[in-house]
Amino acid sequence: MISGLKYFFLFLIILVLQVFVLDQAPQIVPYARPVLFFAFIIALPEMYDLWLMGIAFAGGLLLDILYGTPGINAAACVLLAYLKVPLIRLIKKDEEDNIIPSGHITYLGFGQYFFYILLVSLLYHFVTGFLSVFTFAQAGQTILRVFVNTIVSVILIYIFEIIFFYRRSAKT
Amino acid sequence: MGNIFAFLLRHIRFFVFIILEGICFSLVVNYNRDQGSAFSQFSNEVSGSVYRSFAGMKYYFHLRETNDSLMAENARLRAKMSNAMYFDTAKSKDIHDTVFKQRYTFIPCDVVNNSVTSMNNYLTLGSGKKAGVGKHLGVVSTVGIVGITRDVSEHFSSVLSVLHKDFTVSAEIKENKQIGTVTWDGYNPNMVVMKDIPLNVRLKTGMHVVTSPFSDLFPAGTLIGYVVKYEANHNDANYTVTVWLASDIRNLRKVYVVNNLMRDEKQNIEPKPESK
Repeated sequence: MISGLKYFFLFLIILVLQVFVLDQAPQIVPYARPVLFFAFIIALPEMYDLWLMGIAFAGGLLLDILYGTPGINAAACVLLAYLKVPLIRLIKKDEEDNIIPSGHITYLGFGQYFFYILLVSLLYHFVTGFLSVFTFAQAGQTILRVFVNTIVSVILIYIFEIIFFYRRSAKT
Repeated sequence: MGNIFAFLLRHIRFFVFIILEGICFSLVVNYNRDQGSAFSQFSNEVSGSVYRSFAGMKYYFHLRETNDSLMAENARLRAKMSNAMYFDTAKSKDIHDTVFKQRYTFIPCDVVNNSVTSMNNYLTLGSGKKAGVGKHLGVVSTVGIVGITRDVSEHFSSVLSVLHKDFTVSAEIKENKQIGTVTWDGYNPNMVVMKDIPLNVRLKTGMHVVTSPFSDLFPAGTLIGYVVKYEANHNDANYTVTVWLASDIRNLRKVYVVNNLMRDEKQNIEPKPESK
């Protein structure tokens, strides 16, 4: 219960950061829109997949309602929740099956964590990018945006992870 | 039943994922204007092409009905053409009524039997007295003349084809209005012979041979064929003109029987030949 509240506050922090800080920040890199939002799916602890997908759906839909684009972020978040564990298993091939994989830097290590969030960001921006333009007509420009956004997101999430999880995990 | 539930439970992760994504997608296309219009355009395109190909397939099953209805419409339209009318210019007292009076009507018929190879060829039509076909009426195809009805039963009628020794029709050359007679010489089912064209008439191949206004059987100007060859016959100082038949008698499927509404009126005032 306590940890549930903790993760709820974490979600609120991410949401506030996304909507009131990152979205209001001046555009530094061309094409880029700094997105940290889907970090809450990565940050969530290991739990039953259906719960994870439900939470991701609700959270994505909340952001969509704020943005006025129903469905786009929710679709990407549900996809991330569905692929979270398979992606971790793809990157880190554990010999022991009974260890529950975790999407954190303490489990994966710096290098593999980088690849993990790169894949996750790429997926997320690919889905939201193509859903929001909803055409393959100017696919080149859309893909360019996807890559730029992915790089920005990877940097943001890496910083976020180190601030919120790395030190605390290292202590314990 | 139990197996189905077991299957659903084993893959519940995937099914929930699909359901959630489906909800997301429906939200995207229902509540975003651009995506919604793009999606409806795409789905219109898909359903349109599917329905179009299906309709194209269905069209073939209804070709027969379509054809029949077109034939009926053609018959109606032919009856409205000016050469199916009797042009009444006489200044009688009660002329204020109308200028055109119906002179010819057309009855669409199926050809059910056909011969071209013998000396005396007949066609059989699938319509008889019930459809209004009478004795001694002209028969035309969509392009040209075909023959004359001979015997009529309740549901069938036999037609004396153009390719018959006894068939004659009054014809004229459209370009110079020269009247002659068309018969068949019995050799080629694509050719008929036109006689009684004087040698002083200038002929060219490709001239149109049409029915003359003298004919009771066909509306004036109905195509018979085209001049392909002409030879001077010095015995009677006339040309023998070979005419390529416009209608392909061999491959006829649908014909019209021409009903001349004013024939009796015309024949009643004409002196009757003794032979008939």
